[in-house]
Amino acid sequence: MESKSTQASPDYQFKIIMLGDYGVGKTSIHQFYLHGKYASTESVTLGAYF
Amino acid sequence: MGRGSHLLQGFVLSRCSLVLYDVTNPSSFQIIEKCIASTKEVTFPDCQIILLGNKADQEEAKIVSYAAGSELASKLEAPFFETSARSGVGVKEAFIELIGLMMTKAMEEKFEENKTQLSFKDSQTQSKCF
Repeated sequence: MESKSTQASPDYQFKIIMLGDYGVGKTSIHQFYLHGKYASTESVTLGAYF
Repeated sequence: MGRGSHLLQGFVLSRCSLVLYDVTNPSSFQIIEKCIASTKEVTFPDCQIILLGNKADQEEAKIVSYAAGSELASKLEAPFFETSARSGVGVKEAFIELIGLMMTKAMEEKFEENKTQLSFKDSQTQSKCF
């Protein structure tokens, strides 16, 4: 195994979109999946977040 | 497409949509199909949909039933999960399903690609024989 780069390049990359009405919890689900914790934010994401 | 259609640029060639509604908010459930329709023109035609009913931890405030969600999901031919970012229920399962479906699709595509290349090579070697 070569470990020249600290970050291995992925074999697959997928673009996933999250859709839904405002306030349904798109940001919350995404935050939970990435960081494993629920952050109670009462602010609304404006438009789109990438 | 109305307000915010410029946002669709970011959705171009998406292979998967996680579509969420709030189980305590019926209007968020009713607009699901409209939401999907508005992105259909920019995503991959076979874009995989996964339906999530979020805020499932709020049992007492729940209005949209599991059965209703499940029915819509079968209409959309999409896997369905009730999730909660607060309690964490269903989130892992939903993403595992998503990754599984994506990997299967990607591998199938790769397989088809290799097969085409292979048959192309075959035809080349055959032509050398003559």
